[in-house]
Amino acid sequence: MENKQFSSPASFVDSTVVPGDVVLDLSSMTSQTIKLGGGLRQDCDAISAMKAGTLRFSKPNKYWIESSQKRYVPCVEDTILGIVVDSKADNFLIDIKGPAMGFLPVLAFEGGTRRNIPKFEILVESSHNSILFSMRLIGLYQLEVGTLLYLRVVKANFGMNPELSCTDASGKAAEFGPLKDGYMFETSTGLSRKLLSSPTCPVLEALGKKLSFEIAVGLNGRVWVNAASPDTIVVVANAIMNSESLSGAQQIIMVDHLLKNIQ
Amino acid sequence: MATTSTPQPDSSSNLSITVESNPSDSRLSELGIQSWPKWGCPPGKYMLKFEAEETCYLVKGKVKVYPKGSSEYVEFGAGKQKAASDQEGSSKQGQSLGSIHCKIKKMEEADEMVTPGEVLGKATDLKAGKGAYAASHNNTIYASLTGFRRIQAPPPASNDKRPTVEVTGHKAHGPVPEPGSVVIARVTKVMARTASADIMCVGPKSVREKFTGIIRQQDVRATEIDKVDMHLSFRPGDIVRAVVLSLGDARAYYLSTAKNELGVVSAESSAGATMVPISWTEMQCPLTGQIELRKVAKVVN
Repeated sequence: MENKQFSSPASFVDSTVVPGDVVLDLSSMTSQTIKLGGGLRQDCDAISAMKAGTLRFSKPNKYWIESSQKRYVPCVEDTILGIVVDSKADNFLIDIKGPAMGFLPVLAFEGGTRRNIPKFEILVESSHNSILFSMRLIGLYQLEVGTLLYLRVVKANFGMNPELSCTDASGKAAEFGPLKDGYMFETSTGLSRKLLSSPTCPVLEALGKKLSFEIAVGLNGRVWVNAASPDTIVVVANAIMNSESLSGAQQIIMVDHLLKNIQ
Repeated sequence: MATTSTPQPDSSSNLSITVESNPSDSRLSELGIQSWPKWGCPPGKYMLKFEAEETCYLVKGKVKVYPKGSSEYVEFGAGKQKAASDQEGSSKQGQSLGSIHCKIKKMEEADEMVTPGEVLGKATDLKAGKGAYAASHNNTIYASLTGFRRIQAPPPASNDKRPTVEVTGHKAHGPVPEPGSVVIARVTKVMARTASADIMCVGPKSVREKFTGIIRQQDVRATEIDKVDMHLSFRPGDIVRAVVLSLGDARAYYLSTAKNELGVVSAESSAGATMVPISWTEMQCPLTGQIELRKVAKVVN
């Protein structure tokens, strides 16, 4: 290990590192700006790893450590699944599998203001839609403890409770909000990232060819599945949970095996 | 100081002091010395007034007693008993030559612990100092704090020759933040619209018990108070200089850093080094060169 310590950075990229490994030596690199992502820290001229995982590099100058854990560390602009735990005066308290509860402001929903609930004439064309919309808005203010929500992280500072939102950056609902019916299970953060990667994860593609279902993946290690029948939900959940340590080809074989059993 | 007093028939006899040396144990138990209240004082001169006959047993120290107007004195030391009989209205001077502890009790337990509401003495004998007050309706001095009862000699220049009794020694006598005082506090938690801090010093003195302060979003700075981001002004662990606005609510004082010389005085960067202030919003880490945002206090030398 010692003779590898100060060699070129390429030797550490895509290989496993543990906390304490010096992965980059700034004195050997010419004046360039490098961006350090999660899991790396700077000690004067040496960049060392703080997490155990794989060192990744993306052109032109980004380095970070990728690892899969059960625990989630909140990051700005992550989409996550949270469960309502309590409601206070201004915020809902949301459990996001992180070190602290997330705060979801009561007003962080589309069209949410304290003073006015949108009037009928201003809303969407048909009166049917507008009734549904205003009813939905009143209903949202009484989120029950235990509701599962699809959320976005707005602020995630160290030491403070993360701030969440049920709208996207422009204020539209965009699929955020409570998830009804279905089944939620927990996975590692690495598996959530694989499920959200593009091109589509092999297990989801294989399942999608034979079954019809909808799924919401939270980067904090929670996945929600909904389908017409409970059988389908169970098969999808089991397939996803099994696929953590399998390669692409193995995942397809595993899915075929599962589907054969139910047909 | 009253020990036993027997009412004296109104006689014209002069004041007299009798000293009984080294009373035997049986004499002591006959007098019931164990139940006498205790009194002690540091060396000094005191004016004592006896309205009736009093007996005093000296546990430790030496006393010279001068009846008023006379240059003769009676001197006695520990283990002696003094009975003084007196006429109303006259007074005596006593000079103690070492600290006096009157009473049979262990020597080291000289000052007694008092709690609020306990009687410390009569307003005619003593003056109320720190931690004590005189109730006007019955001329008694009561303690208002918890601590040890101490007697201070009266200042020689004043007309009032009564010693001052005060209650000191408990932690509640440390400095307490008052509205308007400048305090040094350590930030403990930063939230969306407030930051809470533990007050460590009031002015130049450090506090003896824990006080909590809150810095609200609108009190961080004087300009653009709606746009203040608490995370960009303070972090947990920062040392800040602030001024106390008010006693606040039951949990914490309200603090303000809305002046140039108030704000973060010392902060540690995420790399662990003490940061150097660059401007009134930025501090730089000397190890990594990273700039972090704080509400920095302008330190004028």
